[in-house]
Amino acid sequence: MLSRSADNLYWMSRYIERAENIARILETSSQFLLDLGQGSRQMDNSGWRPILEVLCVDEDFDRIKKQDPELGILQFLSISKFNSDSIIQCIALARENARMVRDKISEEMWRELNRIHLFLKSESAKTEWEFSQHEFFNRIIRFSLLFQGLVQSTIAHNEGYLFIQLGKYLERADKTTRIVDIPSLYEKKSLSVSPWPTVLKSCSARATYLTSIGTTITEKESISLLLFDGNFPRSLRFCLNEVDSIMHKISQTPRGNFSNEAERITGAVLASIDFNGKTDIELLGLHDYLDHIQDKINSIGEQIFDHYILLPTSTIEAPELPNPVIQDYQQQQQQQQ
Amino acid sequence: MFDKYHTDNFFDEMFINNEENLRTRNHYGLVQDIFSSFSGKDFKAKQHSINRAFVEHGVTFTVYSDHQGTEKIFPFDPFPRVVPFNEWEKVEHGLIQRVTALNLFLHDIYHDAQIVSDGVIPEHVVKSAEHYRPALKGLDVPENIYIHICGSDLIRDHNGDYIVLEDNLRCPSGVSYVLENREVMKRSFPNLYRDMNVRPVNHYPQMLHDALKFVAPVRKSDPICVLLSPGVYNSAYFEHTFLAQEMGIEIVEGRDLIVIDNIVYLRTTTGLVQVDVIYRRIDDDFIDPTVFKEDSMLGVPGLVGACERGNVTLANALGAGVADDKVVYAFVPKMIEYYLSQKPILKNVPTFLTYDDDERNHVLNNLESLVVKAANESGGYGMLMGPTSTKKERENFSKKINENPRNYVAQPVISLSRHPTICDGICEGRHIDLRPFVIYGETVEVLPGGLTRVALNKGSLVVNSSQGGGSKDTWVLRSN
Repeated sequence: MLSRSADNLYWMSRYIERAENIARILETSSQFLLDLGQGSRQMDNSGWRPILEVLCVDEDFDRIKKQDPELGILQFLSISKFNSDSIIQCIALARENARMVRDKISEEMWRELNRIHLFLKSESAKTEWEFSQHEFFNRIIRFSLLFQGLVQSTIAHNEGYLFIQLGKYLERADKTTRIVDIPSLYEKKSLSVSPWPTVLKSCSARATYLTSIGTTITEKESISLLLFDGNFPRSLRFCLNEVDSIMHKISQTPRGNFSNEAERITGAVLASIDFNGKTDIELLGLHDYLDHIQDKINSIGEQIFDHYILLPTSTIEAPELPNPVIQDYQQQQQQQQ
Repeated sequence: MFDKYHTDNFFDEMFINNEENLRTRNHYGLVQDIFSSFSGKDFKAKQHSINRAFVEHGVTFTVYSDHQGTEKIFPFDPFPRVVPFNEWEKVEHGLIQRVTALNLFLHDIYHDAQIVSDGVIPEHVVKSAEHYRPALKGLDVPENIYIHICGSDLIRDHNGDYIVLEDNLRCPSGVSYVLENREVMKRSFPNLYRDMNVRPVNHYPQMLHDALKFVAPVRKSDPICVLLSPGVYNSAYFEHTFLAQEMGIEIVEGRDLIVIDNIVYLRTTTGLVQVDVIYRRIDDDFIDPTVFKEDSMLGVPGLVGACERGNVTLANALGAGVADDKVVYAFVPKMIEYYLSQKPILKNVPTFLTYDDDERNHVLNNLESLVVKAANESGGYGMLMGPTSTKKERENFSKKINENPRNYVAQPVISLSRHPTICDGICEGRHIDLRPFVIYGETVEVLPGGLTRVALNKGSLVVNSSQGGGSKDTWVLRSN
């Protein structure tokens, strides 16, 4: 498969997963802040601040807020055109990537993605967002789930499919760690209500918790489920395990071995999660531990890019690439992140 | 529907104006029966749902009025143009004859230039053509094919005769609309379509793919063909993905290809793969920054070298653009007689060449009744429409013609034929042209029909999509 096509499929998928996760975070956080008595109506409410930090867009927000004092955090994260990671921009970027590989995706995938993109660009999207954010966020989540179903059942499960899955699970692994990080950013004493039921709900994990662990929701068990459970499809461990498995399918290397840096790092992180996860959290504290994992996830992404997209060298001796080509690619990669 | 229809003394594709009584041409009989029963409102609703389908499907082109680039649909008129069998047969033979002669001309001027030494075309006309590439002299191309794809623009004059307005040999576009329009028409009017016995168009991608494989440098059972596109921001990007997908080949951008030791490779996730044929939708000038425009970000460094050594075939061939120069155009009827010893089946528009002193004087004295065109521009740019021009514009063009006589030609204004068109629910005559597509592979073949473009603005003669043009489906019948 063309390197650029693989890159487009991977980013299409990452952006859709990103949009879904932001919608999940915002939807459940709104509910949570209501429980705390801090209504979501006040857009600049300080209760939203940790969400900005967890998504690493707090500085962007402050900068844009200076030019547009009316800007609310919720608006910034969902429908702002000036935030490249807002829901609306993620979908636009996903669609832009999809447009370059229309021959690699099914008609149904294109149509659904194009449809939600056209909706988000229309006036009715703003009306819906103002009238019912609940509807708005759920529409995004429903779209993403539908899209995943279409990926599963309307295209061949070949290399392109694997790159789509790779993007999805890597993005989800990253976002789950960020969701788990949200409570550490609130001051403990300011929380009159436990944040963990909300956190579980963000990840659709509440029912799983109640049936497999029990009705008392504790911090420790919540973290354990969302980070270390091997069967829950949004847990860090599950996602990285998928990433590892997919990468080995792409390179056709048996699992347990590695044929490139991306596979090596993933294997190492997985092993550390399997064997040392809980002790590492005690040692580093939850926030720093998650930071460390996020760094690793970033390196996996970079290595995938270097290996499959920038310099495909496995069949022929690496040619000296002319500099402009590399710059062009690197520039594009930076824009994507 | 047709109660208030007027032909206004133009040649109308559907009606004959017989002393104020409209008589329907035979091949439009069925269409009239069906369409008479529709109200303007029905049509508006149909048009609306068709447009929605195009937007959702992403059948769009990009307009660069702002830096973001807005995606627009090419407006579609659901009133089909019908061409009976014998009428089409003549067009088809005329196009095959023309493309065959143009191809022989290209081979000739890039070798011994017999046509020049025999005095049929002046040497300076060839050498001064902007797209002439002297460096390619002596170079052979596989199967001696230079024009793999040709999209000539045809119009019909007041007698209904088909005339060639220009030849497009540098990546002509629009064929994806032909195929998409047909899909929409089959869904919208299934019974009418069936009863009319229309020749299909959906084999075009296969025809094109076969023609590309035919010119692979080394005879391979399955040569690797790719479509080279300028990228997602090009206005015809939809067409590029459409064709690539239909042919089952990769659509690539310059950065996806790399040339090592004069061999072109694709950069894939599993390494480099050699490319045999490139269907390029990039002009010569941008294709290789080491040879042509240095600042081109679209091209592939080293591609021309690979091509010159015969390691990869470009379709259309480098340098083919010399044959669609508007001064060279004036000589095409002579080429047909020279190379094929045949009379041209399709006429040219009479063309005045302003490099000739007598013809230039005639042009300068009659500017208000002529159309002046720049020799190397396409898409309706660099033109003076005499009858509607201002004095200032004419003075401006006089100056330009005097400064660079070789760069201009002038033609009389042709009144394009008209066709019933649904505009805002009302059926009125609008001017149309036709862009058929010719593919030169093992044989020369013409896609039955082509893109009928229609000037949607009342009275307008400009059919370009950028200037208020739309399209129609063209139905070539299996019988008369």
